[in-house]
Amino acid sequence: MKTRAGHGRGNHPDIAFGVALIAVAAIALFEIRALGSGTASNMGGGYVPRALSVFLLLMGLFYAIRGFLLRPRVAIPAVGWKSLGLVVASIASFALTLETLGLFAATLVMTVFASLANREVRWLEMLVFAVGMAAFTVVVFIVGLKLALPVWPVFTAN
Amino acid sequence: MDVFANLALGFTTAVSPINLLYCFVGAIAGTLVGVLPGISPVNTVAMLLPFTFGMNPTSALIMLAGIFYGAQYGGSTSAILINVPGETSAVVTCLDGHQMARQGKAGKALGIAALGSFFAGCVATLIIALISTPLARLALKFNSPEYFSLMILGLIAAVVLSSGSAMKSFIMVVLGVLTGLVGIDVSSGSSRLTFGRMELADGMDFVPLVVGLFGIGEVIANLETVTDKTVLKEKIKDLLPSWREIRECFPAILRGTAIGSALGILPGGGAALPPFAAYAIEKKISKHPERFGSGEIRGVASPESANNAGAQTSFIPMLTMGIPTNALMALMIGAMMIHGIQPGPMVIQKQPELFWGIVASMWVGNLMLLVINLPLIHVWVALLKTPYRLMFPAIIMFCCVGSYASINSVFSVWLMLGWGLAGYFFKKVEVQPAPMILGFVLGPMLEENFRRAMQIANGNPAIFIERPISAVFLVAALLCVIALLLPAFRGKREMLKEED
Repeated sequence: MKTRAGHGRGNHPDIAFGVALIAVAAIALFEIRALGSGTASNMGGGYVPRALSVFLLLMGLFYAIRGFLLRPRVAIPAVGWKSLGLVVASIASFALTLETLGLFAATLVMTVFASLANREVRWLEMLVFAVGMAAFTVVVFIVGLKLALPVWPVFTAN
Repeated sequence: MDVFANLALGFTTAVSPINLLYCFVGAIAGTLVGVLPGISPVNTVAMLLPFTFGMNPTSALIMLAGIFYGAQYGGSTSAILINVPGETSAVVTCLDGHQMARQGKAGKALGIAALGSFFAGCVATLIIALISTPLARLALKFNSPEYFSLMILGLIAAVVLSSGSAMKSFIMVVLGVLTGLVGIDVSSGSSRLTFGRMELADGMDFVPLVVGLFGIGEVIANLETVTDKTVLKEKIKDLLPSWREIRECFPAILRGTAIGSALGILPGGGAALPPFAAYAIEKKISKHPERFGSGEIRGVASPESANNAGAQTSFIPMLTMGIPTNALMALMIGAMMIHGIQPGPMVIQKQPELFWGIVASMWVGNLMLLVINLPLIHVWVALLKTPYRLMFPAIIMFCCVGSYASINSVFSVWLMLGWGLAGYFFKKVEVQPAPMILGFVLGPMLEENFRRAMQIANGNPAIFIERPISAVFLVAALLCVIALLLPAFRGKREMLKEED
């Protein structure tokens, strides 16, 4: 904590938290704009969500504004963009390939992307591990738990 | 009411071969994630939840419960051996347990931890059996206003006892409640916060939310900090403490069990808080407080008993009233609902074999843990050597497949990715996501009971304080808030936070 504190004002984690709350509340209020609130004795679908969103909005404003005024300055810990990006890529690749290429290939791709997120990459170990993981998922989820998932690329199945 | 007849029914259910198997699987899986730092029982239960869909509800819940108390056993292993708490509840065990290990007494520390946990587990099982029926009968008298106030009390207490800023935890609860309202509103039939997605009409899917927030968020954050850890070198010998040591420790185990059981039942309870309290008390009443921190065996026995007792008694409010007191119990409620069981006081009457089966399985599971843990210690030690670079792709895989399997749709995988990023964000801005799960699970019930109560009262909120039971809950909630503002309590809370 101390290393991230500096001179001047501004608690960045609080500001970010506040801004995020404002954003969520605004989106929620927009989405439920058409729903009626009703009365206290006969509430409509919009009553409780609207009340909660307004509360979140106020809290967001509180944290964002107070965050700007707080001393000393506290920064948000540095973001590891590379590992973040690769984990996102690995999950996204799984989502994109699962229904076309099947579970085996999707797991393979996912594992490779994920493994790249590590600081040191051992290529041979990674490949062996990825194939092992893919085989493991097929055995456990398809053979063992009998989940309804495509295993192989769809064009070979037909 | 015949407790023994009920327990007998429970044991008949729990020792059926299939339930015995799932109990074993759960306990082993729990020990495994308990040993491994960086995977919590919460995200394990969430990851494994979709794979229980095909099981019968009793087996599923027996297995999921096993993960929770198994993790309490496992957490102490890594705390003692490598000074890294596998779970937050094992933080205190590091203090004296690891010191004992450095003095070559690792085996004894592990042994007393296992024995203490087993004893605590047995007592906690009995406590659950004894007080569940009267509690459930009391809860049957509750109406909407009482339920609403009780949930408010549970949420407030959970917020007050959690680490970190109470205000932020409360905001997270509200965020969770709002997320819980996603889907079609039962009363008005209009869809809310679904952004026109059919997949959200039945509500925000539970699995992607939890595995995203806890599993993926943690993986991304860990990748920035975790380096492969060094492993212990000393051999482990003398697993069994001597009779003299057991006799010495027995009062400490007894105290730990009592503290853990009591704190576990309270709203906001669970396995995290009791060991801190037990350790502090043990040190206070000891004739040699200076020995604590340098390998005092009572400093291991008492908190280890406390966390296991607390882990188990925190099932009481969940099983008897449908009120989760921590994130894991919220998951158990989610699991029940997925299996078509409406949590609440009716469970004990309508599904006695489910209820008593779970209770009895806890005792069976504890016995298994005692028997398998000590001989298997070398296996766990070997597992501690698993490098994180092989662990995290497996975690991501379980999260992905689990989310997909939850509603058989890729949409859930994307949802999970979104919640994963949210979880990472919360870590970065130092906000605990756990209270959000409580709010999420209770959200729909809170709204429904609130609406119904206000309808009964013609829109007059005074109903919540005019009805005595409801008023008692609200006063208790108020006392929690006041306690939070007291300087003495504040100091203790800050201390906990630092040790965390």
